Amino acid sequence: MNEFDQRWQAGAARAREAEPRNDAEAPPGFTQRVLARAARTPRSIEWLMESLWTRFTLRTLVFAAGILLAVLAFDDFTQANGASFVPELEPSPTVLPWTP
Amino acid sequence: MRVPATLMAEEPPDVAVCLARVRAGDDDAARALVEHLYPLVMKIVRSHLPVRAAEEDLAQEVFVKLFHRLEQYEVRDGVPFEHWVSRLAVRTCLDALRAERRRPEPRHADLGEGELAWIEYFTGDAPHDPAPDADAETVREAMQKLLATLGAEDRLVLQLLDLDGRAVKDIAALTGWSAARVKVRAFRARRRLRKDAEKLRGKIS
Repeated sequence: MNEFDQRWQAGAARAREAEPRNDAEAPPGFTQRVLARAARTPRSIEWLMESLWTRFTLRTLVFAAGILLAVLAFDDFTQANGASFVPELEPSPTVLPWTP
Repeated sequence: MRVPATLMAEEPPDVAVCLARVRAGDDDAARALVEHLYPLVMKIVRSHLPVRAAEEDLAQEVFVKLFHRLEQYEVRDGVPFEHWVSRLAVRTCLDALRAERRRPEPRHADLGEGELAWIEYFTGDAPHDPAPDADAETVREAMQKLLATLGAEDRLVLQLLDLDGRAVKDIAALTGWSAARVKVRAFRARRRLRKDAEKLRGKIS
């Protein structure tokens, strides 16, 4: 620890001895002002996003994980059976109209 | 609607009951909640107040956010309500500090004799320099004026860690940062503070 840090910590220890200010009671009218402001302040976009995030994130994650697992399982199954959605090319003879 | 005795300001309200009533639109319960939380919110606001902001405005902002976000608080999460409120208050103060466009440096005229002595003591390099004789409140004022020269996050972390004496774990919980981030931030903040303090000393001496 350098000299500045030591002195800063000594100051911090002294500062913590300061008596905290007594805020036991809200000043007159404070509560009314808060309630009035809360009633007239529209909820912000930030709040809306947070709310949506909180509400939907977990469900969405579970849903997405379920779909991912299902896709992986299906893929495993089709690989094991050698099945594929890609149609195989059949070596069918092509008859062209001008072929004799 | 008649409010039960437990919701009155003289006794600590039963938070769960109070919250249920506030959510149901009971104004008396909302008043009781503000009265109950006022000391906690003011303590946080006063510690992290931007230089030119009014503490009552910021405290009101904390309570407005509290009422708007009350639905997000879930008792079953295991987080005590007061802790949730503290976190909300700290984040609101951090936003206010970030919004502060200019951080005015304290001028010689803004500093009292005891504050000047402590700023000179912090930046002094003579070994065994005796600490100035000043009361704890003066030292706190001097330190907060120095902290006000820092950026929002730096100021917040040093206020919580050094002046309020909170543990790293608590600060991590309050800010949502990791413990490692808190430590690194504090280390860098002290380094910046030292430079700022030396610059300030050069100007005021």
